[in-house]
Amino acid sequence: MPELTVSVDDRFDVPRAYFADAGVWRQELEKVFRHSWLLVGHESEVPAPGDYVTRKMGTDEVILVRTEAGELQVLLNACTHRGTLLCKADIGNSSHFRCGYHGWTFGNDGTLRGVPRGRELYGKDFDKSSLGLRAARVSSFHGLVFATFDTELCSLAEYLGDMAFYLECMLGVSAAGTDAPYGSFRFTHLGNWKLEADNLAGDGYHLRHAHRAGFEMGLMGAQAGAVEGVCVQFEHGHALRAQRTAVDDDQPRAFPGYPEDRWPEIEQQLSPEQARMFAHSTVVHGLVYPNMAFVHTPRAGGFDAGETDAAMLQVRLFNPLGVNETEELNWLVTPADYPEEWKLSAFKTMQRQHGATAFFESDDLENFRRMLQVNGGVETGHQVPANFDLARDVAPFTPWFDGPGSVVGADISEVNQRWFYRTYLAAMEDRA
Amino acid sequence: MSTRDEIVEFIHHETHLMNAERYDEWLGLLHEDFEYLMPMPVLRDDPAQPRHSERSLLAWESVSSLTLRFERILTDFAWADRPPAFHRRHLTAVRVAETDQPHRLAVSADEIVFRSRVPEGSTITSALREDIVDVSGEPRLVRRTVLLDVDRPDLAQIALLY
Ligand code: FES
Ligand SMILES: [Fe+2]
Repeated sequence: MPELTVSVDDRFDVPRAYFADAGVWRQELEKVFRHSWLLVGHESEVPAPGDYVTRKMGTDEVILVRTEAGELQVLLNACTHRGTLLCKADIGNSSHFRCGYHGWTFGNDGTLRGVPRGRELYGKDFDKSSLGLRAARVSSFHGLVFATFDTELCSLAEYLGDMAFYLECMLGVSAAGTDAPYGSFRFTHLGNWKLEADNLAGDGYHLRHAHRAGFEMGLMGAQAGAVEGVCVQFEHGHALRAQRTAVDDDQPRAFPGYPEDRWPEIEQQLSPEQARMFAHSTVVHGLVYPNMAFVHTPRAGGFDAGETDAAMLQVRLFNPLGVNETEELNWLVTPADYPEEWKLSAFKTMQRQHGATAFFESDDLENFRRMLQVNGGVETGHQVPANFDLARDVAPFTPWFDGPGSVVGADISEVNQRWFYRTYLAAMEDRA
Repeated sequence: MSTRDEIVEFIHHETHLMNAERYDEWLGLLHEDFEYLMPMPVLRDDPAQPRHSERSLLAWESVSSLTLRFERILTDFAWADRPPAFHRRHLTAVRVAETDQPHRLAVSADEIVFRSRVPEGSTITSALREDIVDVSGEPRLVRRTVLLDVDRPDLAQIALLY
């Protein structure tokens, strides 16, 4: 693990091959994805015994399932006989999974239950117990389900570390927990997954340019007036960026975008420093290393008159299907017991502003895919494309809260991107 | 009350305006409560089950959100639309049916949408388009639901209007 010392003078390059070479992609899967806790879904997607969804961890096909006993399991979605894909649906409910090839049948806890003509053809000593589906380690954080096949990796709590302080601000506002009321959205797009990680980890610089249309059209809400913010880095590669609004300590604390009658509960759920951080943030976005990101906006409004004011938390997952193609999943995550109309308003904002079909998002993805067009060039290949010098010499300002992690008082900085790539390169170059 | 032929013509005209990027005129054909919905395609094992999610909508647009969408294209900063994509909607089998509401007709059409833009290349996407049209006065679109015939949509296929 690299040390958590992000020096502003820490100069480094990311060669273009890291964005263009299919061999790098295979290595990433081995060296980065295999040794990380990866998001696979939200608990509310599989509420009842037998409920399952199929997902990817990197390029590995897995099944997230709730067993008959009510436990969450993440199983490798590959039959242990000849290895074909076992469960082909996106979503369903079943007490067992039966392979379409020779009919081996697995319980939804992964145990091999049935082998057609087993006793007759394999003999009475055939040991089915060693042929169950491989189960990953599974751990949840406020409803988000993570998994890893790495038996050596630390616990999820340790992996998230101090990032939990900030994630709890968004995921822990209600005692009733969280919900993903509209399920998941899955689509593919061109572009290397790291550009999305880099962008969502902390790119405040692109906002005024890539999303200029949004500012010109008055869609940026409190962000348009925000002037200061922080970039925060955490062990294991996570990072977060938050912009603040004016803080007036003489005023009672407000949580814009949250129903006013729930504010006392938010104060109760969060620590005073968490509440202070959260109440005065406009947008908060970040990366849970390597491939989960989140975007939280406090005041949203889905553009329609008379709509409920609702904060929006979008959780995103990007799995590299190749060096040039990404499969993305999005969820709206809300407090579980908030009114339906509040959730609906948040949902509309998400889809109209940050969803797959949203015009706002399209300008980001345009930049990610345009890199492909130049990757084939020979001269281009020799040019190191990535410059990470931003905000090496800016005067820091003092954050408005006392929070953990390496808090850098700079809103527009590449300190988070440097931190992401440093962690990534350490793993790729076996220095982790 | 419009005749069926008039409704079919209305749908062809509306689609032509979209193809021609005459968005202001197209917006003028929308009812104030217009909703544009694109349910998420879902793979379920049982062929008798629906192929699209009832709750997960990939797109949910209103008149005001669509107005902003088109306004953006006119700014100098619509990077994803500069240069613009080639696109064309092809309709076939336009069907008109009564609904249980007065002055509301159900119109459906099979649609092929062609789109081409570097570096995404060309996509040809098939969909079933289900509309509700208000015919109490001049015909106005009240709702459009786009049911994609694609199990794993790519952004190039869903980033435009059907
Ligand atoms: S491959 Fe699954 S039963 Fe043979
Ligand atoms: Fe962006």
